[in-house]
Amino acid sequence: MINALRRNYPGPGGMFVLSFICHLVVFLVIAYWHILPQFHEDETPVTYVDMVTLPVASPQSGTPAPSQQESKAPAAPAPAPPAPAAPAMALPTKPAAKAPTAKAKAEQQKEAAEAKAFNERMAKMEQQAEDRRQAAALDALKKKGSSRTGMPGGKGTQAGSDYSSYLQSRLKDALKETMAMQAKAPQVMATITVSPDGYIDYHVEKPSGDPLFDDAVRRAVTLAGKTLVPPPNGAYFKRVFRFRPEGVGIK
Amino acid sequence: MGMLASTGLVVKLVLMLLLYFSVVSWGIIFYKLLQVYRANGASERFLEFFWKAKRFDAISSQLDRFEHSPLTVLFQEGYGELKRLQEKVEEKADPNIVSTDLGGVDNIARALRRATTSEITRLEKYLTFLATTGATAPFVGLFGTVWGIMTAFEQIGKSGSASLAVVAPGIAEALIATAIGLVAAIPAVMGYNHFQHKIKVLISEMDSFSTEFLNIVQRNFGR
Repeated sequence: MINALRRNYPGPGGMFVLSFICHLVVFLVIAYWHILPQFHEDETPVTYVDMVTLPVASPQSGTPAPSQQESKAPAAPAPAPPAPAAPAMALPTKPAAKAPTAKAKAEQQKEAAEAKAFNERMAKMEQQAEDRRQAAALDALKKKGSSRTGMPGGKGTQAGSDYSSYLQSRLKDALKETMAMQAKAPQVMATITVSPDGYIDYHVEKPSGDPLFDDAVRRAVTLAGKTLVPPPNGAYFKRVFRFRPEGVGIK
Repeated sequence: MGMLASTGLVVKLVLMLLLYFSVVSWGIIFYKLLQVYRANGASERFLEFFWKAKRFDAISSQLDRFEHSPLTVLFQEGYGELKRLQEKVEEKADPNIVSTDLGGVDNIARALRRATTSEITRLEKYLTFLATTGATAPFVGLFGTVWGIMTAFEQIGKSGSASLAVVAPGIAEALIATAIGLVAAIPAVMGYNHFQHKIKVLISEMDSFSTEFLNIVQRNFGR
């Protein structure tokens, strides 16, 4: 009677095939409709822009200098405009019957002198307006007392003062990438030295006591040094920086 | 599909394993759906026919109509045991009486119990795979994700940039393993619970039928 219990029940083999077909259909639907999210790598290069440019001894330091070609570009004639007229095709000149008289010459010279004086006055006024604007901006920054921009207490006229801001910005960006810490509020004081050839060196004046943060500062300095522009005027740059998780300050 | 193509070898292997789990699970779900719903329908029709019929031999001749019902197996087994007892008793004085003193009803009860066990085994076959898939697929997916994230971080370290544009795609590619693990596990768990409930109902039906069958045997053939 045991044999009576053993009926020929169909196995699940056919259902496995059905399941496989269903999965294939789902896969094709996903592929056809692009249901899965797609990621495209952004190839746009990162560009740093200094938002504040303080008046310094060397105005070009710390700011992207225009290339030689760019600076010369305005002077150079742009795509040659069509020649006004070839000598052969010249417009009929006015009859030079009347030669310039001495009176007319004097008038022309007088007009030229007036125009020159006017231009000089305008340039002077523009220069004064620009000086006033920069002075106002500097005062506003000093009043603001922000430690993030410029040099607290600095006059903004020393050579390399803008380089401090530049270096501070680079160190701050680098520290963001290498940040690691265990302590609650670690702080590292370090003297940063940049040689005229752009080589960066640092000496820890006061460690934080948190080995992770100390190492993060070390890596930040190394990272910042990879793309550093040398100090202006071929001089050594040396300054004490204060590294904290919130950012980098200049002492 | 770019996300799947750009994953590492280990994540790809994990995805293939999860795909296997999913295909087999759904195969079992389809198979069990067919089996359980056929068994339920056939059992209802068989019980209706059983209570209308007057004679066991008439029921026995019509069993082929209800081949998917587990109750027909119980009836077949119980009726066969009853006939064997009758043949044995015919050799003695009173041919129409099954003596409970000799353990005739107990014999039938044992036969019915054995048939019930056999049917339960048949009904629960392959359900363990659903339970295994439901329990392990999320962990397998999680393993793939952890591995993928490790690889992504390694790549990020090499590139030297920690921007979101660099970090996000690698992690998203890794997370797809967990997503597919859940896609495989959720239907398996739901199917397992559903079929467990349905099979429990069928088992209680088989127990009720066994009791009724023994009562009928005791009433009509017992002494």
